[in-house]
Amino acid sequence: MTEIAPPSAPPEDLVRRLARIVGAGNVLSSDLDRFVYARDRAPFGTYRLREGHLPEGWPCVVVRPADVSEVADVLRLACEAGIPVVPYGAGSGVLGGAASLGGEIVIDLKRLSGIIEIDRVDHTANVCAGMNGALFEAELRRAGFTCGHLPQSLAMSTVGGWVACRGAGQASSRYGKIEDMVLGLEVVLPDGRLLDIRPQSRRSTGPDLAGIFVGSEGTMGIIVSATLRIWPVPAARRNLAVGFASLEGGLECLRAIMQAGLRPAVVRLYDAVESAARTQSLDAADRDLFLCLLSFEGPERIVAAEEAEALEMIGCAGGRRLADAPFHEWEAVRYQSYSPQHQAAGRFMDTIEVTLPWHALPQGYGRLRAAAQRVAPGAHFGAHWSHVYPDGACQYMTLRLDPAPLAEGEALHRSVWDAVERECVALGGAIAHHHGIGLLRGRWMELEHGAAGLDVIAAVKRTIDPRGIMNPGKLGLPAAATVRNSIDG
Amino acid sequence: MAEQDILAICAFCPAPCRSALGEVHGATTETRQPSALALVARSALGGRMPVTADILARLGDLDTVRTCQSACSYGLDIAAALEAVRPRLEAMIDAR
Repeated sequence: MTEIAPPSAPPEDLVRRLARIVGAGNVLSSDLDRFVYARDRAPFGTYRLREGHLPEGWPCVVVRPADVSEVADVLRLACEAGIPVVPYGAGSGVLGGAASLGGEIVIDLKRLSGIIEIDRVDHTANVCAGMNGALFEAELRRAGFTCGHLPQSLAMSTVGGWVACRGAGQASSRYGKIEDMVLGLEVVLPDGRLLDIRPQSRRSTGPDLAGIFVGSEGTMGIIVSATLRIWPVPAARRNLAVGFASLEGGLECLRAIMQAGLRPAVVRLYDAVESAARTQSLDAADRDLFLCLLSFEGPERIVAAEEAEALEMIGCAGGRRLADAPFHEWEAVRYQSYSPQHQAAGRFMDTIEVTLPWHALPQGYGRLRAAAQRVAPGAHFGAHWSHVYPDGACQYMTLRLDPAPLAEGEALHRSVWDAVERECVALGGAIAHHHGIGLLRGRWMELEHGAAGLDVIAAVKRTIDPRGIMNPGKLGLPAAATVRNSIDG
Repeated sequence: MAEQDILAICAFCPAPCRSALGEVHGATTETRQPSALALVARSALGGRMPVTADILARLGDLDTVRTCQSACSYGLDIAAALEAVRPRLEAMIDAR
């Protein structure tokens, strides 16, 4: 293989000016640093890396501000100089939202860490954006609270990243997605001004300002802190593993449970493929069932009542309780999201999570599976429903395409995505539930929002960020002519 | 398992081990994370990245890697794997 010459080093003057803001030790300009910060965990980027290809786009330089004032000064400098920036948390995103397109200042926010305040009366926590998710939850637990946001990426993500990509945790059916938890935000705008969206439980003061930034993936400004709802650590918890004879029966039962007002913390219904992998420890008679895991938590008497009500509804739907083993097996790996064996084998793995209204389920399951398998016959396709609401659910699909030459695998991967996203919109669903848009999903943003809707988002972006420096090319918004999206070419 | 295979697993892992850093997580650059060093070593061994004195020095800075080891989901010893491939990397710099 041939060595690849790294993209040119940052201008010395820029490095000096940044060093005056954050200190010389917090300006990372070596080839090694720029290479490491060029990627996030998007599978399409990993396909190339594992074949030995280095990222095509390298950031110009990486800075690590210590506080809000330094973030503001860096953005002022970038704005004046017209240099694009990429806000960076822990780089665990899977759509390329933190990937470099080349030439940016990457702003690593992890030094903005720690809980600023826990309000024990209002049950809120004000937390710095760069705080690691698992450390945030651990500190809350020591104070007798939980953040209620427990994504599979808990240990590998930051609080700011959760907000920026509009994420969801495994207990979203009870506590909501991150957008349901955000009460206030501090955001540094591209011109360096600080926007303080004061935390309030509810308000009637015009459009939701926080909503512009929750899910904006760093394209509108940099979230530096958030005030989130928190909950007391539950006094009681009851876990259930149940089985349904049919997928339709399982989905119908979950709809009934949520529409009856029950709020399980964990709800996970698996299709036949994923059930088979998770029922191996059960008796043979139970291995053909569609597995569903449930967990109720809160005050003991309410938990007992919710469990009893749920079991009755499950029985009416033709389901029955199983041994607890599948629940414990899931719990043991609930924060792991990596399959080294498939990676090593060169398979093209990915996940697609969409939202479907109940009226489009369960036929939506069959249609999305058929859409994927029409493009890639024989590909592994599994699905589960683990974020369930009174009005719809997230269908979380796992794809594995067989090993193939890179160009062939990439093309097939992109075709499967296209088929699934288009079919999802045809079903009345949303193209993304909680992984965000990043680079890969931008091409379907107009399908999701319509031309007028995307125009509104772009107009807001132009107003806030007229020079277009904030995370260019992400969210389906056009990048400046100087940067190139290596996914779309 | 061969060192190259261990490094390949780590290089593409989303790195939940980073939470083992605790209070120093915020003060640690991405470049010091095991997954980053595994990727760098793998790229250099594959001849895609030039082996420089800077890269060798960074690949020898294993404090963070050792701290994260307790939280490795796969029980891998990345520090040992990086140390094992170091002579090959040193030979590559000498050969330039």
